Amino acid sequence: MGSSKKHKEKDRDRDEKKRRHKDKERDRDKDREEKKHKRKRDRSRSRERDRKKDEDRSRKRRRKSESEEDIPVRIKQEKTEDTSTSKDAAGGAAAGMSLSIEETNKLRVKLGLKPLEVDGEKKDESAEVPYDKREDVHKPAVNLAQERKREEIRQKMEMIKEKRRINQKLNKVKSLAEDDDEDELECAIAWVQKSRKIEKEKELAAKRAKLLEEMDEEFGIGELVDDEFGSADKRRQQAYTAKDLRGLRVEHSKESFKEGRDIVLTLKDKDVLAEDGDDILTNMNIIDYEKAAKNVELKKKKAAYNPYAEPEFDEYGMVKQKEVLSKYDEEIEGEKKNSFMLGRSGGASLNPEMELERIRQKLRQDGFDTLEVAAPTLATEYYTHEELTAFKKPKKKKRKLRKLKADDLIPDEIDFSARLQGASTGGPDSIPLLTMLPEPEIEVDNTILEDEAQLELQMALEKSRRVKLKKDNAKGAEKVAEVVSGTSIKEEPSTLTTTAAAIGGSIVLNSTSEFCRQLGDIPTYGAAGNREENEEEVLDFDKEDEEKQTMDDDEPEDSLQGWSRVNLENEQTANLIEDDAPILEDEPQIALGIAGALKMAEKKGYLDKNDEKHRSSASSHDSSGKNYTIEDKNYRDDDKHSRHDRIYRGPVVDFKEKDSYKPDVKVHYYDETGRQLNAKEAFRVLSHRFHGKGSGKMKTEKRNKKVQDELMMKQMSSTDTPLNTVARLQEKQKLLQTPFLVLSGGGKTLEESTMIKK
Amino acid sequence: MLEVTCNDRLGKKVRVKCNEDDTIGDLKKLVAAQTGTRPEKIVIKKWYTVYKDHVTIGDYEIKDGMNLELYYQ
Repeated sequence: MGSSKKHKEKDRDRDEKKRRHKDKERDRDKDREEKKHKRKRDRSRSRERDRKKDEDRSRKRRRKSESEEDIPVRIKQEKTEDTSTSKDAAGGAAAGMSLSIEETNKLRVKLGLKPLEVDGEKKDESAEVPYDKREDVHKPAVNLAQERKREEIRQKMEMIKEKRRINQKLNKVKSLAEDDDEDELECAIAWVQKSRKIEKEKELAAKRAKLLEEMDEEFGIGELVDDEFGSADKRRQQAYTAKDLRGLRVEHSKESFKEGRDIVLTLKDKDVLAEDGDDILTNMNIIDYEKAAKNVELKKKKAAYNPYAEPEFDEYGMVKQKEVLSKYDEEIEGEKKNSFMLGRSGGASLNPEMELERIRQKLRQDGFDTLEVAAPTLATEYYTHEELTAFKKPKKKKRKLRKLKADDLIPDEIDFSARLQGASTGGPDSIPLLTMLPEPEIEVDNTILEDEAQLELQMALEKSRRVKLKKDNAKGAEKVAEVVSGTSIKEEPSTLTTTAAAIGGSIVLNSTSEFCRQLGDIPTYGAAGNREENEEEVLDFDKEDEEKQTMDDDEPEDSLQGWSRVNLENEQTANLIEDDAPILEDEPQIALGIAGALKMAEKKGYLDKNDEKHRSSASSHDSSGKNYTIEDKNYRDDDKHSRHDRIYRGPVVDFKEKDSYKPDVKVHYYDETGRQLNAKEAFRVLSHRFHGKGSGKMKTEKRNKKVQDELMMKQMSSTDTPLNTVARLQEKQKLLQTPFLVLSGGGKTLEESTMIKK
Repeated sequence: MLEVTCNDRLGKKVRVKCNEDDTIGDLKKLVAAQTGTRPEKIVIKKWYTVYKDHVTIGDYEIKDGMNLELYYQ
């Protein structure tokens, strides 16, 4: 299958190749033709030929374009081409080619485009389109003169219209001159009649009145009626009373009216035509005053913006909210004027204001927010008692919690006591002495009292302890110990008491004892309540001590030479040793061997013990290092201040006990030949070793020679010259057996001479 | 109708007649028909402005007798 496919593909390839070949051939043919053309052109330059050639070219191009465009366009344009080609020829070869309109139209048809619009037609089209239907219509500019004229005319018309309207209106109204009864003027008779009528009526009315009066008199109520109407008359005479003043506005602040002074108020001027204008009362004098005050205010030139201005209060004592840019309020809204209305009885009581003032005062005194500041007091350096109670010191940083184990509760006062009492106390027998321990409380006083709170805590603990003790009287001390060991107390290391000590059966943890415990973990036996329990341990301790003693026998100096800090135990043991060791040792037996002999020699002082001393000191160093942990160091740092013996503070001061200890350290370097090097040489060797390269050949030779010389110098005897002339002389003399030697110039000559002499 | 000259400066210079409302795409087709290249490969430029296919010749304000640059992409 696959093979057949391949075959097919190959076949196809071959076909394609053939085709290509054919194409090539065709191309060649074309070329030949063109060449022919060229030759022809060369031969004869007639226009016809040229034309033909051009045609050919264009045809070829067409063909090409057709093939590439995949549009089957074949334009026969021999005739049309004539014009274009002629044009081209006129334009020159650079003008390129262009098709005629018809040609392009054909082409456009092929491409699916609409035919070309010839200019003439287009113009016609544009002409056909009416002016209004066009998209953009020319709008003539406005004639300003005409516009103005039109406006004038319009105004005139308006005027005329208005006039007519007014005339019509006025026509309805009768003028004074033309009264309604025009006929009256015409006939005076009617007027006379009318006037007479009026007279008659008047008379009648008078009569009636008389009649009524008479009737009143008859009934006896004349006086009463008289009274009634007479008072009314009086009132009528008083045209304007206080009652009429009701609702009038006075345009002055109430403050401007003072008691005991009459002020005449007048109606304020206002527009006659103003419709809803209330009557306003003013006083000219007061207005003048106000104006003056305002001028003064303006002259002050206050700052436009005063952020620290006192807040203003309104009439109810509330703080007035300041508006933004309130300084312009007057200009925008007009001047604000104080005013008040007159009351019902025609007067305004000034009392309400007083009342308001009183309320305000009261509110202020109540002190919702008093502006009063507490009276200033003198600042004191010391706290008062109340302040002190309120004041709390910031707590010191707590140290990490340390677990307290049951084993820790075993008191190790023993070394502490030993330390205190010096070297005089002796051995494990001195355990009873421990009861004479200094009270731990004293120690507490000496230690750092970090703050009062802690002391308080201490006190509280003590108290609780005592209470508990009373309660648990029946319970033994052992029980307490058991409890403690069972629960494993967790305690802050910052607290002062950590070691177990017994006060009346209870266990007290003490810093001192804890410190001592830190120094070395010797199973010691304190005066604690757990004594009975450790009966056996005591014995064990004895044994241990003895063992130690024997072990320490070998190097008794060690404890004396070692560091005091580390070797507290050693010291103690040393003391023990002094007590217990026999003064005279057994003489070591030589028979045991070399070791025995050496020991013997050492004892007798035959052997130098210096080296051993060094060694021992070194070993002591080592031992100190072993016990010295970081925790210990910290503890020492903290405890430094509390130590009563100040001499032991810091490394600056020598150790008192070790005054005698002056280590003599010497470092010697030797080269490969065993020669001792001086400092310079030693340094050179070290340097060479460090850098991994030695000095050059010349240098080494020189140095070797120097060394040799030195050696020679050393070997040289003091009685002889370096060349051993004396020895030689003597030899010569012996040989010659003469007490003299003949000297001549040069060694050779001398020898020769001697030979000759021989 | 207007006639535009398209010139790549490599030997092809064509004068093409076209309408104002023809698009540049149409112009390209015409040019392609005359020069024998594919219209998709033609780029018509004037200085640095590349004329886009969908815009008409009128909108580009191409006038009669103007020279356009012919490039191939």
